[in-house]
Amino acid sequence: MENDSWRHWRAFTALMTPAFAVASRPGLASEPGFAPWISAGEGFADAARRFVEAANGSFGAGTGGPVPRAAGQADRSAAALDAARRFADALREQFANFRMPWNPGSAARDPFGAAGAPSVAYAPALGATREHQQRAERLADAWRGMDEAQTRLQRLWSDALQEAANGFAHDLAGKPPASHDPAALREVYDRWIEAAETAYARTASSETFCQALADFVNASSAWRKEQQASIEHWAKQFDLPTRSEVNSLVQRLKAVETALAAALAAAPAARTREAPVARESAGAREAAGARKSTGIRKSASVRKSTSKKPAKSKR
Amino acid sequence: MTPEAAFAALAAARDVVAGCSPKDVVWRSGKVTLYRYRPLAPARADQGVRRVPLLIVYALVNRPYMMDLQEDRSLIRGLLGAGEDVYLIDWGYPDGADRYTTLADYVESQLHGCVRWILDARRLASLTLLGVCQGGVLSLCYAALHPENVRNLITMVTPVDFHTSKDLLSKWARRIDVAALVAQGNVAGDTLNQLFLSLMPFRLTQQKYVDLLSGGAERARIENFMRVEQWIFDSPDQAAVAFGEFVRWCYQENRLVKNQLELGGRHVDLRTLAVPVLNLMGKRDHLVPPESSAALRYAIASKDYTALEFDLGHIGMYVSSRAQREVPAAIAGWLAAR
Repeated sequence: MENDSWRHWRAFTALMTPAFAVASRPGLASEPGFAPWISAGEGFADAARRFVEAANGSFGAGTGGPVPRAAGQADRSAAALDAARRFADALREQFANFRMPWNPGSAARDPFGAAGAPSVAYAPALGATREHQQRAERLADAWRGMDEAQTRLQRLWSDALQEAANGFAHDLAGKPPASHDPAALREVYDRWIEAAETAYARTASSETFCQALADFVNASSAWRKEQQASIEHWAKQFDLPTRSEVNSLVQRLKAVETALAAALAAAPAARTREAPVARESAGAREAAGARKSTGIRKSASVRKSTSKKPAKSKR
Repeated sequence: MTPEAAFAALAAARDVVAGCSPKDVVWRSGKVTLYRYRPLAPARADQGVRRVPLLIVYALVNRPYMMDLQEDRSLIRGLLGAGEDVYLIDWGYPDGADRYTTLADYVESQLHGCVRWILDARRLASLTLLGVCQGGVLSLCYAALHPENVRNLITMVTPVDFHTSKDLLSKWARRIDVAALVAQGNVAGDTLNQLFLSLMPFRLTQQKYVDLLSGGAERARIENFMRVEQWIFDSPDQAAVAFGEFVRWCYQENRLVKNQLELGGRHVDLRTLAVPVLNLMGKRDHLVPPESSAALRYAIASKDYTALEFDLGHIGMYVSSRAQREVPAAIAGWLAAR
């Protein structure tokens, strides 16, 4: 890698993803849709910069060589660890509160805001629109349930990030990078990954995380169910086939296939096999003749006896 | 490697093709295809009568071409080089019409169909099964249900005890409402991809790409990476019912190692499984912890049981250079003694 790994990585991602380049265009920050992300990005960058600066002051100089341990080293280490803690907190808060702007509870259009979901006061379901209203309410409830489950899961993710950042800072404090050359930077990066995976593995295997993940998957299933019901309702209005109807046909076909297979099994003489495809190998062609033969298979007992021999010819 | 060089190298490798060894389609049924690989060289006279065929049963959750990715990363090529007669099952890509396909259908209809076809074709009583990952579970079920058709059984990175302490996938799966999950149809391959990435998100979504850019722009290296990348994300959707059964019976209820599994109304009694068994495990396998595979030793009746643990991860068991040197040789050596 070249010296400036971060610059290279950004250049590469800009090549790979035009959106990266677009997002960096001036003026986009003024658009409300992008503002929360840009604001969050700036907050993250600020916290990261302060951490790196403090870490440089403590763990190593920007000149490329190891820093001699001077009298103020303890103070600088404490400052670096403090910066690491603030960085970890920033990471946690950023990700814990992130919400997609189209999610319920994001009425303020601030995906990083903590604004709670507005309570939906359901009107009594009466009259000709009763079923439609209730269907819509069920769909909204399911969506809300999924959103809440996702938020709980994100909180745990952000906890893991916080723990990872703290672990990484302590790791750096214990063994500062010897220099800022590419190899040393790469080693630091690998240590970050190791710290992150270790923290994540601890969180991910916890009972809390397992339950939160299951809650999210189950809430997603509930939402899909309501969504499908809604789509099927509209499909029927236009006389379009629905998944339920196709399922019914597939089940009937499967029942017929099962009955046919049972009938064929009960009548071995009538047993037929699917024809080998045209491009069969020599072995397959050989098999066509073999299938016409009978009594060529050894009994289980014979096989057992021969299997004891390390027969070179038949192995 | 500069960003421009990386971009150019990746662009040049975008259409790489995985799979290298010549093979023939010998049987098809529904979406299942049975391949037979052509020998690398004509059999020598001193090799005697043709060998017992070896049928590779791959997992349902990924594509089987990982076994034959490229010339220098091919377990199949290694087996062919050792003189094995290799067949491979390709389960295909299930779609909405397959949502009611059951595990019993996969084992008793599709796998059994492949085995019967080979045995009839080769006029043999039995063959060697090589089950890989989830395919190993299917192979164990088949061998327990049809021991007369299985001469040797090889399991590779195969989960047996789904409740070992390091099995993160199992911990995640246990509280999921599987019936609700599969009630809406097949489970998307993309969903499974996300799940697998979530097991080690920092390594699998960041570090491996940094590793890629940290190395040189040699064509072979980039193409190798792209083939593996293609395989990782070329994940078939999972037939809803079979997937639900697998998660519930194996990951949630751990029926296989408890000897409580039934398929199509028949008990999959591992305790009656007495054929020679070779169990291959990856010491650094994050998907199937070696402890999970090692449980096979005490679940079966076979007196001829061999376990080999390699210092490799799950994918490394198929495509690492170390695996190329060690795994086919271990399989061929074990088979040669039987």
